[in-house]
Amino acid sequence: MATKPVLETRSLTKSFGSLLAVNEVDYRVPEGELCAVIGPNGAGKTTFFNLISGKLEPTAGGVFFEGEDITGFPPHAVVKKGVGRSFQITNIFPRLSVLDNVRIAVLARRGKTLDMFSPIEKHTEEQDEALEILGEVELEHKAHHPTTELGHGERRNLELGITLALEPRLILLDEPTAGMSIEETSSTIDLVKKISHDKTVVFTEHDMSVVFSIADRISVLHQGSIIAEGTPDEIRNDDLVRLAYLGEEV
Amino acid sequence: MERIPNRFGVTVLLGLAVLAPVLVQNDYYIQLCTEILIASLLAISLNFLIGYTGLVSLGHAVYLGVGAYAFALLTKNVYPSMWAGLIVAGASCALLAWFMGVFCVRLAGLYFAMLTLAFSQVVYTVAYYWRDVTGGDDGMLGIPKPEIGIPGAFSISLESFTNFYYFVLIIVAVLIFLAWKIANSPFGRVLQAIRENPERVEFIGLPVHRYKLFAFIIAGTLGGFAGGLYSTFQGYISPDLLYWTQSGEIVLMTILGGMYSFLGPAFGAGMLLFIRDTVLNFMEYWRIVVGGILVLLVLFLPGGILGSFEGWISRLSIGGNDGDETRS
Ligand SMILES: Nc1ncnc2c1ncn2[C@@H]1O[C@H](COP(=O)(O)OP(=O)(O)OP(=O)(O)O)[C@@H](O)[C@H]1O
Ligand SMILES: [Mg+2]
Repeated sequence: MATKPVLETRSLTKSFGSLLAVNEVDYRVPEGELCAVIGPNGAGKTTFFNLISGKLEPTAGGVFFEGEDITGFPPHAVVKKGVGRSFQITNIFPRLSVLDNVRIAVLARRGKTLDMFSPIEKHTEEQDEALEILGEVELEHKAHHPTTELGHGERRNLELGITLALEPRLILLDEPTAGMSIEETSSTIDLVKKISHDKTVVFTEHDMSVVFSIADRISVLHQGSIIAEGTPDEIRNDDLVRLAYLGEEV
Repeated sequence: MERIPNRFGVTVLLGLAVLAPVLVQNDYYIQLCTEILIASLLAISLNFLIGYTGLVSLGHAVYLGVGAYAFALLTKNVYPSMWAGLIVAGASCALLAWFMGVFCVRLAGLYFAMLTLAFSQVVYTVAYYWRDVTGGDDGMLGIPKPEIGIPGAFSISLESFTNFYYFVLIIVAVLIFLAWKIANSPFGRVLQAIRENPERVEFIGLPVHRYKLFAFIIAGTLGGFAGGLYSTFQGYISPDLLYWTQSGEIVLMTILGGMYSFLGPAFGAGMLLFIRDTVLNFMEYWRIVVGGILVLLVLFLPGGILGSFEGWISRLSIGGNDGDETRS
């Protein structure tokens, strides 16, 4: 409880016209925890991630990473600070090879992307590291294929691989299992658990059994506001949450 | 997938280029080959933006024109040196691209295209009306072909068509090689990533605007060298070089040859100029022929001519490939 939060938002607010997509959210993520943000469709989860990662500028409030105010930083600057994210809608480089998708992120992290005169293949350290990451997301055998040959689940894994390649200290995963089959979901969830051993992770997920089995903490977003926060047990027994969201499910 | 020319293809091409003056044995065709070389550099430079970075510029003639005027002004009014002329042509275009790029790279798609078009038309207008410096619509005549060499030691005259051809071949080959290096570097791959998905590039921690600006400056500088070469090649220039139809022609070369193939635009440049010269002999409306070919291409070979050809080759040879087919 006493450890200083890795991520903190203060009264974070985003309105789209008259719609308050994120409404005065105060949120703290302690170091090393695996935190879930749940809520029904349209609750504001993605918008919340967009505000933290710099994709959107907040209407009001602030975002603090490791104590530093990063409100309004552009996405590339937020990444450089150590915050990586993945996207709910797969966001990869379609006509590059699977390897290049990850390699370019590794090169970016290591500050090699302004190198204009040595062939990209000569950067063997980065290539090996990229292949290792592809191994983690079970895509090593497809390294030299174009992404167009990947199935949906594989594309989701590549999405994750690109984010891992950045070695972020805080990692935001927006529905990493979106659209996956049951087997794919379980292997991805295993991976998320593994990642969380040495990183702070915030993720969203619609499958409640997954959320309640792996998360250290759960925050429930409802119409842009956090209506409950706590351990899985606390959330399971929260009347407000049952009423607003969980319904029959738990 | 990106298609990078293989060693065999490049050797053949280079061999042909070196032997061309011997093979054609005709001053007229040597000049046509020289022009094709210059246009190849120009089209490849534009393709840094279109094919690599995914930015469709409709104002690339601005570098052809500005590079040409810079060369002419320097060699006629200040100092008649080939090297100084070319360096000033490249440098002035680098500066111009930097300036325009700061505004252009913030935009994408049609807005980017429109702004590049607008900038080039502004420069055209300046060249047209600033008679004292540019000669207005009369243009500039008598641009020299200064000899090259080391003063006092030796010098080579470039007045003969063949000598001049080889001079241009060397300059263009060096610059295209440089462009090829850049295209295959980590930086070049970032440009391709920007073409594919600029948002995600931001989210791997890279400032997309800055990378686009670098691409813009590289394209402009290479274009400026092409402009300088064109200036001394023709010996006269006019504001027509800067007109938007000229920009359109460079885009056509790129698409004809194939924008996802490194040498595609050069191939397109050769084709376009060859068609112009042969068709022009029996009808004035050579652009109809080019237009017709373009329509057929877009319908049946959207990868461009060289691009599609390379595609077939790599599909045929996929068995003997070391698994790197994604980049060959
Ligand atoms: N760019 C935008 N412009 C206008 N409204 C938006 C924008 N982005 C999101 N919204 C609205 O904000 C609300 C929250 O959307 P958001 O995508 O954050 O929800 P979510 O919790 O991620 O939903 P899901 O579970 O479906 O992914 C929705 O009503 C959505 O329509
Ligand atoms: Mg969402």
